[in-house]
Amino acid sequence: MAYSEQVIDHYENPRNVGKMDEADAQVGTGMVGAPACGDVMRLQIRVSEEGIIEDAKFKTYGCGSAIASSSLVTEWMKGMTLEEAGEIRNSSISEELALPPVKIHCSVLAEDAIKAAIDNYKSKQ
Amino acid sequence: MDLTKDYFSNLGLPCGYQIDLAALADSHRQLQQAHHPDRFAASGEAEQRQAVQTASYLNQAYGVLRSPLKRAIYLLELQGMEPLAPTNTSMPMDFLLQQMQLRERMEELPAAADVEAEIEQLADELLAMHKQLQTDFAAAYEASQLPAAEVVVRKLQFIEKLQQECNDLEGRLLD
Repeated sequence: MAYSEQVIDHYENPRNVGKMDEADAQVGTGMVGAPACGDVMRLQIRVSEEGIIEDAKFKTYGCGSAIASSSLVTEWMKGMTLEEAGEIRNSSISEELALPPVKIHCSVLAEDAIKAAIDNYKSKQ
Repeated sequence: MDLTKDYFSNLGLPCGYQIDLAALADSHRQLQQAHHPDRFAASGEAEQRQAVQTASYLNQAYGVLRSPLKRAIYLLELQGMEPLAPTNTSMPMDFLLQQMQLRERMEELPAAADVEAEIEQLADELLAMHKQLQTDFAAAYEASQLPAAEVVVRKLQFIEKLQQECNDLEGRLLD
């Protein structure tokens, strides 16, 4: 199966790979896994006092589409409010990356990771 | 043979997670011989097609039943569940943390002082986890705790994936 140019770009030059301090009250950490393929994704956000996502980092162990999906959403989320980020849907991710149907679950993983990170941040406030 | 029936009934084995692998292999071999398409070379087209379908069913059944993971998935599917549905991405947090740590360890492994020993150690740990999960699945399934059994299957899938990657890594680093 051929990957789209957008996926290859994010896979070869992933944006915002890294880790933040999970114990930091301004940091929300979301971890999700896709049993169908065994992929694991960690997505972290740093939220300002005003409720704006200042920074986002990810680490994904998985296929190119899963890495590209998480890399893309970290780019999108920076500068968004929590509400805006919570509205990111997997359909926008898969559309942007031109994911084939068998890889849609990678974008679902990224959407769920965003929600998990937001929930984790909120639970700390 | 009624191919719409489940693999256990057609292979003459009790439906459950514990399985007698020697009996499974015997039964598969005998049925495979009895239904071998070569035996129907002189028969009509319908019978030949039936034999090919049966042979394919038997191979499929054998592959599923002898694999601890596939057998577990199959048992839950017989209960109308879909344990590996891609839309369900929530897993116990401690398990995901452990997965991340194992992946990080594997990523750093090529730089280890004694790569061979490190790989062997990791492979041993994964095997122990795999065995434990098989025990956990059998307990949950036999107690009809299907949601719990489903979580175990999903864990097993992650561990098998890691085992596969550990194998690939070993092949790349030690050959």
